[in-house]
Amino acid sequence: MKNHSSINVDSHSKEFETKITNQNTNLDLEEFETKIIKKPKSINDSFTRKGGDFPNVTHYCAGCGHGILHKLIGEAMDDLDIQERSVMISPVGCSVFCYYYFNCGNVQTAHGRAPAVGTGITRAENNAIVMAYQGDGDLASIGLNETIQAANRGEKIAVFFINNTIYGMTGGQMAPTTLIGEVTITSQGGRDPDSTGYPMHMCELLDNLEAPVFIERVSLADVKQVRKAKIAIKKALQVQKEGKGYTFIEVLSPCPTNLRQDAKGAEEFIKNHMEKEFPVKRFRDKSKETKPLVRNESDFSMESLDKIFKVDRKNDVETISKTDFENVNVKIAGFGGQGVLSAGLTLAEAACSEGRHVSWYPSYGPEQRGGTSNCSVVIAGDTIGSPVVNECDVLIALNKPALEKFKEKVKEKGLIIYDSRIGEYKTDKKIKVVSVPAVDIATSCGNPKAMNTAILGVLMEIGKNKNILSKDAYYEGIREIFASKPKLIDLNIEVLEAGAKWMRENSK
Amino acid sequence: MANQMNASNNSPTCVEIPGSKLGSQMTKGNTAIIIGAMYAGCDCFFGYPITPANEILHEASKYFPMVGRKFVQAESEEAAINMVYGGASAGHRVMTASSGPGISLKQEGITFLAGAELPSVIVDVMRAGPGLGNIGPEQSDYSQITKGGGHGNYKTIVLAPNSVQEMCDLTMKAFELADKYRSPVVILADGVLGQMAEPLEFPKKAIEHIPDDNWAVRGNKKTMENLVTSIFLDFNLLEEFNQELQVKYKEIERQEVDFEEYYIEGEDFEDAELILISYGISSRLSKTAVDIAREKGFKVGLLRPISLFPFPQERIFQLAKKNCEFVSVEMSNGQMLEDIKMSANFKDIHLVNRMGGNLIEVAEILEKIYELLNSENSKSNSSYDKDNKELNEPYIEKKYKDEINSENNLNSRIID
Amino acid sequence: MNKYKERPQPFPVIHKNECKACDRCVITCKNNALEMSNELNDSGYNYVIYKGEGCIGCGNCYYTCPEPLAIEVHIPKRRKKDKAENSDNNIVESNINKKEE
Repeated sequence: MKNHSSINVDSHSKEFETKITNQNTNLDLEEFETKIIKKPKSINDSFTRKGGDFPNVTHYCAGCGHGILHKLIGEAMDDLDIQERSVMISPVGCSVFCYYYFNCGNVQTAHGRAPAVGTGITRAENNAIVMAYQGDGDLASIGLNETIQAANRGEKIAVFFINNTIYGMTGGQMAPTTLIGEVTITSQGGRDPDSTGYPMHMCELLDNLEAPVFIERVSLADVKQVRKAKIAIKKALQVQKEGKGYTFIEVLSPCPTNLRQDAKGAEEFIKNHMEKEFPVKRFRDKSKETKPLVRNESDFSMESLDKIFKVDRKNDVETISKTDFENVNVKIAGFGGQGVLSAGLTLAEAACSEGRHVSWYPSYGPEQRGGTSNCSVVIAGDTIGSPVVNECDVLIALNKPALEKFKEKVKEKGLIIYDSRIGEYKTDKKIKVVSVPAVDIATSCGNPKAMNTAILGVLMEIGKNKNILSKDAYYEGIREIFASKPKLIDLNIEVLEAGAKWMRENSK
Repeated sequence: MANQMNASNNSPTCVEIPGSKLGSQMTKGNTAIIIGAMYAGCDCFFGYPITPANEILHEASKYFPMVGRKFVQAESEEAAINMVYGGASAGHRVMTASSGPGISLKQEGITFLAGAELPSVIVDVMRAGPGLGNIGPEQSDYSQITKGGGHGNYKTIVLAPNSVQEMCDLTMKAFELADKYRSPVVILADGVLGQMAEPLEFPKKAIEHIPDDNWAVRGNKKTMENLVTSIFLDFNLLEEFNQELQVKYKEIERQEVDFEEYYIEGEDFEDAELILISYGISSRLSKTAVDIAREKGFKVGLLRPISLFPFPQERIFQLAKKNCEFVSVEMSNGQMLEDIKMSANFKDIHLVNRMGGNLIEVAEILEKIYELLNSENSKSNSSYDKDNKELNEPYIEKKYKDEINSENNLNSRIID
Repeated sequence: MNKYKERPQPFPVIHKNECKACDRCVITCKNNALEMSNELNDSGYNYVIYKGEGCIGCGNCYYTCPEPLAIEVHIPKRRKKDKAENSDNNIVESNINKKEE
């Protein structure tokens, strides 16, 4: 052939199949241009990341399917003009070095975690086209959970699942997709379903989920299948280009090295065995009816944050240290659901609004779901040490077990306020004990559920001369606690006052 | 069709909530983490439920979407940390939170984050172990967090808050350090700090973080050439990378040591002869113990490491040269004690600790102080006296164990 | 058929050092135009060679080849009259010199 300049054109063009059979004659070469079918531009010109003496050769074995699939994906990226938007995730397995070959953004991940990593990328960068390239061990064994869950969330990820029925890189162990009777290093008598189960059908498994947009199984057995595979891959990446959601392509691929096959043997194995077990077909294509999935844009502004956290910077309250302030330690205990934790929080909010050092600490875990619960509130003049109250100045007991449990922990000159329904309680210690008909007080205001607030009203009245917390502080505490339910604010303030009034009327 | 339901407009969705609050709000420690993260410009939160870190997940699910940020409840701890790996690969500020059992699962992801040099923030609200243990507070993740935790020659920067305010502030700082050193940063908190509420002063700034296109992979033309990986096939190249990592850690040790001293050296009081070393919730109990002991005339002080890696080795070394005695006050089996011992040139270090979900009691710390500083007096007036006025101070936590155990017998069989 | 007599033939370009002798292209070639050489390339593999005739430009060898950089197929096409060579998008291909048969 004479040297002449030629034009590199879209290698996917169908025109290249035009048959040209004739002899070379005297030609006017100027009349011709040359179409070249060659590697796409989304595959690197040279594999410099691989390095070594032969940087233009893959690290794969002779006859391996990975290189074929790489080309097909690269061609589809070219065809759809998505190279710049693409992020290829390399897994662990033979294709751990995918990033040698794909000319786009590359992320290498831990074994089986590509779908989770892909989720992270696609959530962070909505416009990125994320591809996860995974083998059978990676995807169907160690990463099965991630695979199913990402599919079920409908993440915008194109998963390419290379099924060659074997662990390649680690030396030919049995894979989840190994066929029954197939001999591997770890199934030397052939895979026995009695001890190792059956080949895992990933397309069928994922086809049970609602979210995936496109699922197809293709094969690299022969050139006809390879060309079909290209169509499926392009279809999947089209879905990604449009941002519609999850696509899954399973690729039946040869592993001549570990399965000890030549090219012919590999082709026959895929056709006669793998394709029998794993039928090649399109399981699902919802690309037409699925609309693009658009995620919101992140807002980082101070204004928006202050708004959602309800921060009012103009009315800031500074915490003041007053070392002469005597600490008050309050224990509130009762059944879960009696408003134990919220009563404590109301008190803490009240102290906070007055610039006190204050801490609130709940018993947490299963107790708060039904059993007795309690919380500790420390109101102090200076930085607080432990937020957990054991010896307390004030005990508020909303049920009998709570009173029994904590009554001994109330200090001399302390205070116990309890729900009168518990029954009479007396002590020899110098402790003020107040039995409050809290439910009656709350009911008289129209809401028996506010009995915890009635008790806070009693506490407010008893403490009013001790300059611990002002009435305004209690009001503010209630306003904070019910900020999201404004209707309850006035009601609770009414109950609070009713509690205080009851105390005035019943103190000597 | 499921996708359609998610489709929404492409604008920020800041939602206003009725009612206004003050600049300082009573805030749970776990909530403060999310507040700090959001003002620091954290874009994505990936998490999995576990007590006592749950509220971090709850608040993230509530607040992140309000301003268009991304929240995913992952299928597992491994998935969550690998989502962090993905989001961090894209150069965004991302985080996850968990507790001991979950952190153990995340260690795979953390070593990959360190290997790929990805900035990220991981919160560990420690609970009691080993195994499932219980959900009470403990500080027994110290070793797995400060020594790396996964395979390979790496470390993470570790910050240990001891108040709700610091839960917020140190989270903000964690994101800064993560970017500065391209390294995962761990916030090491505990069950008490996570669950308690204190007034929180909100951050004074909100950061809009711009991903670094020099290394991030964002699916655009600018970052096409970039590669995020932790593979170095060549032994020498990997050794070189390991050495670079160590240079980075040395730099962190030079620049980022953070600690607080209380009654150690000063003009208004005599220098401490005995120094408590304590972080997190234990340090608050230690501080109370120091207050009480100082009032009695004992020369005792507190050194509180705020950064656990880097550990305040040099300061401890200096103090050891002055012949100070040290007590490690920790809710673990002497894990921090080992670091103190090494810093103090292998001097014997005393230990006050509790485990199993129990808080240390101030009385126990005092007892140790009295024993060490005044063995003669301790018989007459310094031994722990239950009726002693100071000991009846609110900080004293005598029977927390009983409280927890008797409250509900389900307690010891919690599976969460 | 006269029209085609005026055309140059398509042909494969094989970069012999990228070939690993897997045989896939040889098997897939419709016209049996490829064969394995007895010689070894620089990496120690036998390599595929073009018999010199029979290529129909179908591209099957390229599509079944596992090595992305090993095979190209060059297909001469009659130039469209209105399409000039000055399009910026077109890349002048000089690989033709590398042809190794």
